[in-house]
Amino acid sequence: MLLNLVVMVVFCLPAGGAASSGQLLSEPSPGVRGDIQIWSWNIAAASLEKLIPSFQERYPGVRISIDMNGSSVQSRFMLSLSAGVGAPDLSQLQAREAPRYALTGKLTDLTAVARKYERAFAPSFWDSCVQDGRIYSIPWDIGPCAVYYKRSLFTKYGIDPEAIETWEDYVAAGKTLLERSNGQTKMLCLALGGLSDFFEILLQQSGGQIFDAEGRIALYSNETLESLTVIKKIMDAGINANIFPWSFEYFASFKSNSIATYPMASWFGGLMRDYAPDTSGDWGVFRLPAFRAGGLRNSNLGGSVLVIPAQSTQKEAAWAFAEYAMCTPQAQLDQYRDFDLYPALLSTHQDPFFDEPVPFFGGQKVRRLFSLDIDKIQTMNRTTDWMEAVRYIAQALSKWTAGEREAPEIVLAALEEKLSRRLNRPVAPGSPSGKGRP
Amino acid sequence: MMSRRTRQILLRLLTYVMLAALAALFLFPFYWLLISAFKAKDQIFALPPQWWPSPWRFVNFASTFEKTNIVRAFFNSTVIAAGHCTLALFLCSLAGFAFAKYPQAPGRDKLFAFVLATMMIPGAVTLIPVFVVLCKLHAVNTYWAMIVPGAASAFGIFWMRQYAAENIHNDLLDAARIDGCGEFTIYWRIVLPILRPALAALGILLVIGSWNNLMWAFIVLRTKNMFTLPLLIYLLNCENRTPFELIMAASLLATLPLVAAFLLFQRQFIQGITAGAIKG
Repeated sequence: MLLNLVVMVVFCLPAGGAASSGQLLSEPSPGVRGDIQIWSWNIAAASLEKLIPSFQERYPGVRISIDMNGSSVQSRFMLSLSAGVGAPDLSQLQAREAPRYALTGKLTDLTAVARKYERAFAPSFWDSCVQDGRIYSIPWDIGPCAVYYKRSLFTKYGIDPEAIETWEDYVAAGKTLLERSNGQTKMLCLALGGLSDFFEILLQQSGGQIFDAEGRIALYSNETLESLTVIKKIMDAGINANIFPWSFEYFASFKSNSIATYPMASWFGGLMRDYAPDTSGDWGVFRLPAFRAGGLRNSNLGGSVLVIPAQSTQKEAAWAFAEYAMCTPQAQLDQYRDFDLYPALLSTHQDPFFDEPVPFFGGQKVRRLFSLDIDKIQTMNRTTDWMEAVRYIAQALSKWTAGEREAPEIVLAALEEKLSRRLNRPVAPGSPSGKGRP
Repeated sequence: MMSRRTRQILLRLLTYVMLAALAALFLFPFYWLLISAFKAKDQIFALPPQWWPSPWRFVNFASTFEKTNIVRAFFNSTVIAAGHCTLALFLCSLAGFAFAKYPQAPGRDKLFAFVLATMMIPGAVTLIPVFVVLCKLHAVNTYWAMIVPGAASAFGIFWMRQYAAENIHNDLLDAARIDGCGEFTIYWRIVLPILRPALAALGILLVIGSWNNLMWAFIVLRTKNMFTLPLLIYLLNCENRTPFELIMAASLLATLPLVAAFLLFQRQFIQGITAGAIKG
């Protein structure tokens, strides 16, 4: 907690100190030499590691060491940026946090070399890489969303996944499931204190925002209202299990028959395979339920980007690797095949690989399913305060869902005011809460 | 009616039982650390718990040396603890002596009140300003960043002042001055030896504090070759593939010198309370 505070305040330091040239102006030559260090985490790190041999066929002079460097990668990265020492040549960041880092002015400006890829990625992901018209990061993987379900449970209780088209249908199916299983099987995990992931999925799907394009608070809208209404309906129906996401119980639920579905991002499939390999074949995926018939049935959760710190002395070599790993279809496909990192690079989505049946999901062609309507997912206005705002929202939602669950309008009005006060940002004009001044 | 003697014995017995229970409570984590350092990862988390490792896996230590830069971290921790302790003892004793024995110094009381007032400021508040200062001095990721901040701590100065005020007699200082001793020589040759017990006691606290300092190390040490032991151990944590057996082995290794040093210094610490230059 304390450390978070330090890191947050360090963000706000004016970009000063050791000035290094923060721009990469020329394409790397095939003869570029270097010894680059990369910070990454988890399967993403393993995925990069596997790309090294094929990369070195193109750039034999570049040596790469990948550092799966444990706890608090992003905090440590921020401290190293601020101090001007100790940052790697290339680092992974959460896509939604990238704007904060770009604002420090301590990332390499990649505009000259990366501009040509502007249309290669879905706009909702590309936009988090751009700050004031300059490009500071390059999209890596994305997290299009759908609902994972357990086939055996759906069959046993007579539920047709194809019939679930709206959240209304989803709640109804959940009630049926609860009834027919005598309360043994819940539709999903949704913990009172762990609502933020689900809320983010709904928010981005609904077209709602936390901030408007000018960075003002714009949480209160019909779209957000709809998102909260879905949460309320699920909770009121009692079809959720109060299991905290990423807890031991949560992972254990893959193997038990207590939970039937997981509305989650594409990378979640990799986790399932890791934790419950013996459930292979028993899983299926159906598209995210829409808010109303015919509405958007996709959203995004997570995803990451790669950045080059301005202090790196090997920017050319670092870019050569980043470009290879992120902007080459084959490299992106390899990462998806082996590590479930869904390619941000749109051209890969045309590959026949996307139409192959996946045995873990009972032979379903889930890759294609996730790719549908990715271009329709809206861009979120992240600002520097995104993570903090989400924290306040999650707190308020916990309090709301744990209590009487009054009308969502009341929650949103109070939340807008709180966000405005805490983040020192005005409420956008036209907000139904009436707090915004035109 | 119980005799007075029986009552005394019972009371003492009760005291010992309670002390033993408390001691067991405090020793248990060490015991757990010790046995876990010799277990395989799944044995550490086995339920019911295994109270005795079988077999004893010395290989945990071999892989700690092989997979982590623990030797370098030992070296860094030692340099930093020794450096910080030495500098802090010098500055605190110098200041404490001055506050105790120079009543004629202008503004002494106000200055001392100011030093004490800084104790009221929570340490967390100073983390950011100090980090910013070190950034500007380009001192981040150096030993200095770990050694210098906090070396002239208010607590240390207060500690030294109290000890000096009680144990150094003005006559002794005057005698030295008559013999032609300069003020710094007085401090160095007369005051320091008298302060030895206080130095030892404060030194123990400083070394423990420095050796275990994770938060500040996390903030200012940026590259692997500069990592201290706590930082090295902390950064072995990985989302879902944390090598707990290595963490336990490394923690055990990191704790041993501290335990040894503490036992060594403790004798001096206890003896020292009563020792002084002028006896009788």
